[in-house]
Formats: sequence, C-alpha cells, structure tokens
Amino acid sequence: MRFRDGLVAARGHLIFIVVLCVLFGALQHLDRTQGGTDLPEASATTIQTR
Amino acid sequence: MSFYFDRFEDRRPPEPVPHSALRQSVFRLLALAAVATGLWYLSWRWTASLNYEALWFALPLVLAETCAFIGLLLYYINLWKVSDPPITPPPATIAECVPDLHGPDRPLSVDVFFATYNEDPELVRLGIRDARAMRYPHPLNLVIHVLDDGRREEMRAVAEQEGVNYITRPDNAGYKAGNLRNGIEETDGDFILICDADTRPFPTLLERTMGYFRDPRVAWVQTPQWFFDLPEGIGLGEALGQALGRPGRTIGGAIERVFGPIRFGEDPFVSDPRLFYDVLLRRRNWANAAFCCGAASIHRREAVIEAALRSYGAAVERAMNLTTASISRAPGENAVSTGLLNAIRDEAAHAIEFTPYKFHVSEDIYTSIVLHSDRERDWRSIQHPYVESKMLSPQDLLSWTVQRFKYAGGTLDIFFHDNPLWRKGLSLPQKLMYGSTFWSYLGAIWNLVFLAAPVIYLLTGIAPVDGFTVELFNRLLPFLIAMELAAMVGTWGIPGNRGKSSYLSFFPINLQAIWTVVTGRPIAFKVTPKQRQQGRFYRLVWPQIAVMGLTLGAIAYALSLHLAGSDQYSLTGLVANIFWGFHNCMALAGIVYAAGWQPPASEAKT
Repeated sequence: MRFRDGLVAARGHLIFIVVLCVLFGALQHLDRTQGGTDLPEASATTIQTR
Repeated sequence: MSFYFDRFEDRRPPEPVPHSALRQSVFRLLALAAVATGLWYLSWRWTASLNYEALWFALPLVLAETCAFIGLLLYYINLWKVSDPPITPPPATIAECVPDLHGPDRPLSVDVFFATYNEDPELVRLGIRDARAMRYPHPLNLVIHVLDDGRREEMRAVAEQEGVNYITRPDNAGYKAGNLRNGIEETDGDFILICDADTRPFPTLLERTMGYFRDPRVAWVQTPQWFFDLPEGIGLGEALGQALGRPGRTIGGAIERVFGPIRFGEDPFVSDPRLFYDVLLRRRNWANAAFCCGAASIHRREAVIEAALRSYGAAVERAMNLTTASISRAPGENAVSTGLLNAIRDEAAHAIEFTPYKFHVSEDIYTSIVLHSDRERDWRSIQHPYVESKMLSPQDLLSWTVQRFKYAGGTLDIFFHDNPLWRKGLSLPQKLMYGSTFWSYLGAIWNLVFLAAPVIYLLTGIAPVDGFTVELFNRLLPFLIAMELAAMVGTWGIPGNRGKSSYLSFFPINLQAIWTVVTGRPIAFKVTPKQRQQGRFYRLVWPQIAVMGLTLGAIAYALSLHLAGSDQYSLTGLVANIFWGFHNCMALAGIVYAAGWQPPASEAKT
C-alpha cells in the first residue's frame, strides 16, 4: 500500500482535526474577547435571573 | 439467469493492510497520549466542571463521556498488537493435522455447507460451482452439501443438477444453527467450510487456510467477508460534469487528482467490513480472541463436537444441581442417594438437547466463546488476513436493519444472559476483547445522551458544564485531536470516519435490541434478504429524522433568540453547541440518505 493511499483513506480524520482546531481557536478567541462567563452558564435558576 | 451483481463479477478484493512496526509504534504513542489527555479531561470534568444547578443534565453527560472513554480503552487494547499467524503449506494427510491419529493415515476430507432457507436456488448454484473450483495441491475428499431449511424442490433440483448432496429436515428448529447441526449429523468430514447461500469461495480458499490446521489446537479459521457488490457511486468529476458540463468535469477531475478519489453514493449502507475484519478481528489474533462470523469460516469437526459435549455436560450438571438442591431430605439424611442422583442425571441428559451449534441468534460468537473458554484443549482461532470468498451486501435499508438488529440482539443476549466476562476458562485478554464487542453495542445508550445534549442546551439554555470556558476547550481539544490521530494511524489504509458516523446513527436499532433483551422478549427477525427489496424506507429511520429535525429546529430557535438580543446563551456555548448539533446531523444524514437510496437504473434488476 502506497503512503498516498493511506493518506487518502485518512482524509476524513485530517479534515475533522483541522475543523476542530479552527473551531476551538475561534471559541478561545470568543471567550477572551467576549468575556466568557465563569458562572454556571445557564441553569434553570440563572435563566430567570438574567 | 442474470443478477444485478453480474457486472461486478470482475471486481477483485482489496489486499490486507501490510503490517508496519513503525506505524504500530506511532499508534501506540498516540493511543497513550489519547488515554493520558482523556484521563486529564475526565478527571477535571468530574471534579471541577459539573453544573451543580442542573445535575439532571450534567451527570448523564459526564457518565456518557466516561462510558465512551471506557469503550475507547477497550478499542485501543484491541488495536494494540498485530500478530498474523504464519500461513503454512496445506497438509497432505490427516496425520499432519491430528498428531495422535487412531487408524490409518488418509487424505483430508472437507464438507462444504451451503446453508439456505429462501434464497434464489440459482444464487446458490453460483456458490456451488465456485466451491467445486477450489484448488488443493494434494488429494482431497471434498463434498458439497446444500442445507436447505426451505425444503424446496427447486433447490433440490439445482443440487442434483450440480451433483452435490442435498440435506433438509422436517422443521426449522434453531434456525441457521439448527440447520448447521443437522448438516453436521448427516456428514463426517474432518473439516467443515461454512457458506451462506450467497457465499462464493475463491479457488485459493482451502490451499491458503488449511495449513493453519497443522496446529492441532486450531479449531477454526475465519476469512474476511467481502461484499463485491457495494454500490460504487460516481466520482466528483463525473458528478460536476453532469451538473456543469465540461468545466465541471475538469475542475472535479483536478480536485480528485490532488486529494484522491471523491465519490458520491458509494456504499450507502456503510457495509464495507474491512474495518471489522482487517483491523478489529485480525488484531485479536494475538489474544486468541478472534471470533467466528459464520460464512467463509473453516472448522475442525472434532472441536465443534467436543465443545458441544462440554457444553452439554455442563448443562446436565447445572440441571442436576438445581434438582438436587430442591429435594427435601429426611432428618439425618446428609446427601441424596446415588440411585436418585443417577436417575436425575439420566432425566437431565434426556431433557437437554445436544447441540453442536448453540441454538442462538448469534450462534457464531456463542460457539466461539464456548471453544475459547475450553482451557483443557486450549483451542485456537485464526483470523486469516486475505479475502478468500465474495458475497452480497444488504442492498436496501430493510435488509440492513434486519442484519444489524440480529447482530446487536444476539450479542447483547449473550452479554446479559451468559456473559463471558464471568465465564471460567477465558483469559483476561479474551475477556477484554469480547467485552469490547459487548460494550460497543451498549454504546447506543451514551450516544443518545450525546445526541440529546446540544438539543437540550439550545432549547433551554441550560448547560451541562460550569461554563463553556477556555479551560474546557483547552482540556478537550488535545484529547479529541489525540483520539482522532490515534484512530487515523490505528486504522491506516482503511477509511474509518464513515464507520464512526454510522455507529452514532445505529442508536435506534441498538436501543431496540437492548430493550428486547432486557425485557426478555424473543429476538425476532427474518432471514436477511439476499434480493434487493424495492422501495424507500424512511419509516425505518424516523428516530434519526426526528433527532435531526429537533437539532436543526433547536439551532434555529437558539440563533433567533440570540439575534433578538437574548442573553440566555454565552456566545461560546452557542457556537460550540451549534457545531455539535451540526456534527450529529451530518452523522445521521448518512442513514437517512441510505433509506431513500435507489440503485442506478443499470443495476435495478434482481
């Protein structure tokens, strides 16, 4: 089996890893710039108080 | 007579993925990294991330994550080692397979069983002809038998025309296992090759597998099942060409040259079993835990009979113990008299049926467990790496569902009622391997939680975690990446991401199987149809459609609230859960597509 065949079979995994990295990078950026909450994010009680 | 698969007759099976020590070492490193980061993440999840104001949501999710992590550990243990037993030259005589042979030496005798019930006799004819063409370098007493549980004159006629033996019985007790048992009773070959009605043995099957039986401990050899009729779909270039003409074909072709073949509509039911045979079962050889999957397996008759005798003896003993324990004794009487014990034993021996193949919907795995747990004989199983036969895949969602439900229900029935984890005789690695199989079927329970979690968050704003914070992302991302990389290297050469998605989408079938077994109802199923069933089968996937609809609705609802200025969600929580929801929808979309899949017009004949 050629290396390229293995790589072609691995495409799905590689794409998923890239998407995860982009997503988590964006989430970290959002959390820092938008001031992610330290509070329990949204529980039944906090919804009522917000 | 023509079949839809005639045009695929020239297809050749894929070669097994060659072993690479370097790749295996890289896999192990990545697997250890995934386990370490997974433990780091999960310990934080349990100790510092739960939303205590919504434990009804937080606890099921963290439990589901933990259960999935246990499944991951079992998967890594399964993939840890590749150890293909060497292929040795086929034996010339029985003395090379049975060292303490009583009686004169002679050529081997092999019975080939074609178990059939309602399949097209012409389909069985193809298998019979291929079986006759099997090569062997020494004299061999090869006898082909059609085991017809349908008691059909047409089948008998085909058997007679082909000059093979026709065996039937007055009833269908035990279904396929009963059919095989009847075949065993009617024959006497040293080895038995089991074929389904659609199995088409290759000429090399016997010459490449019989050598394993030189080891007198080898009880059976399973060869990979290969579906030669998987729909091939159309390539990106062709698809774009149909939509956009020549420019589309050029662009699509260029993309495929860079990224490799991209096909649409290929194997819509994700039936390709390479991941199962070439990765999972093959890597159980080191633990002597590769189980039998029925068709395309060769069995040593002595092992089948001996395992059955042991099982029978144990069942008689259990019945005796139960009866003697319930006997009231007179004052001063310490033990049941010998005469009474003998009578009880005789009664139990008559009442319990001797079954060379356990009457069970998953007779293959059940018999494997019985043989693997026989410490005295130390029976071995072999997963042979090369494809040695071809067969037909389920061609519609109804057939696919019947097959999956049978697998799940049968395996879970063993898990709940005769769990090999508690069975004496199995080694720890064998227990872990069987445990891995059972655990994967229970996965529907935690997969349901994973499907529900983003929906609950997006509809209610209630989070299962104590905030979608940087710390959560920093702990989760390394784990997910290490896990994905380990899966990629561990299954190198075999596309695994579609299997992962379809595993998530199996949840209704597996949940139904769990419910059926837990409530003690019979695992009712029809024989897997070998002919394509006409129609679309959306009713079979209504739970998946419902979950997709709920998820997309929840995403739209949460987005509209957010755009309207609601502060019910944090932006990070919203983005993360929308992504999660879309990921789930994409995983489920495959089976919904399969429900409506129709073969191309050129293939749409039976």
